[in-house]
Amino acid sequence: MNLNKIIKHFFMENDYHLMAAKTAVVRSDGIVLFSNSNSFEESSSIGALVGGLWQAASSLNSIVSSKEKELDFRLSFDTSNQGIYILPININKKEFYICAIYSEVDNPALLKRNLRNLKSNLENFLSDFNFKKIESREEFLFSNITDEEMDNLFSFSRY
Amino acid sequence: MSFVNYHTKEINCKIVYYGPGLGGKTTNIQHVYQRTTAGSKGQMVTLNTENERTLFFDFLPLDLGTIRGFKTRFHLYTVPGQVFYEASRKLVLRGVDGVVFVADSQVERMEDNIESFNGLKRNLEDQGYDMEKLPIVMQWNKRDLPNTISVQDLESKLNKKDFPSFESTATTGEGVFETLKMISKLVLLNIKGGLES
Repeated sequence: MNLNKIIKHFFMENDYHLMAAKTAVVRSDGIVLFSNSNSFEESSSIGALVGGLWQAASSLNSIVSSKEKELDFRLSFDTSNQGIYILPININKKEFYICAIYSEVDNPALLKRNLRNLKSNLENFLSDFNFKKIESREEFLFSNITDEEMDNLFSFSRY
Repeated sequence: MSFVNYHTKEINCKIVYYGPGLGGKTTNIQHVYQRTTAGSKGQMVTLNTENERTLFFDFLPLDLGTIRGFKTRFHLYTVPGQVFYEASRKLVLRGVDGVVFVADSQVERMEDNIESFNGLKRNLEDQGYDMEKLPIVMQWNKRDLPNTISVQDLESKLNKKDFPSFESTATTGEGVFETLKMISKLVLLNIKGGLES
């Protein structure tokens, strides 16, 4: 089973996908590993924005502190009943982000605590899997690509 | 860095449009968005200033077709071109798989083109990229304007490494898809992984 499927399984099994209007697990470059959105459009946007938001916040923080962080950061943007909460999550020694986008929530503090618990649970859950070390492959995936193949790939466009 | 998922047979790649302010990076992506059928594109995300200039990035996810069994997704980003947004440009370049450098062909913008290209080089090197190994395509934009510098001059001043280049007029769409097709091809050819038997 690959990482996307494992994470999806984890979310579905525990109803975690219902914890906020939108919940997602995103790679640092914005690629989405899991999202409870059924729309490709929406989850892609969430991925790009969460990745960008976290990177921008980290850069801002580095203006005042160059020290190695001792505790994990948390990113919060909220009013008393709606907002965004993002946490870094360590999966297989790589940093990902878990985010909740919520609105009309009576107790946002509880939601945030639940997300922090979820992060810990997911990290523990994933630590049970023995991820095979991905060997760096030196050979190229495609040795050649014909113009016809590229034309087919771009057949979606009306140019 | 491109993401190849062998289980779901998916390839995700990141392409960044880079270049001086008002050079046509956003217009490129807008044209792609307008000319792409609904099922193949996602929502275009723009983070703009009040006067419609790019503040952080524009983003357009493209769900292309399948190549040799792999479903391909390209994530197109633009950087803000204005000089004082250097920090944002660095962030957007993280994890890039290919760059389209959109140069403004107008004579008076040559210095800006050179400064932006040098910035690209510096930012890529800072993040450990080797320009020789990263797919890069040059686009000479705004060829419809009367005061353009010759393509030969653009090539000699900006394209010493002989990257593939295209003339374009992004406002009409001329050259936009040709550029995208070329960078997509170079990015796909540059993915390391090898097909699993």
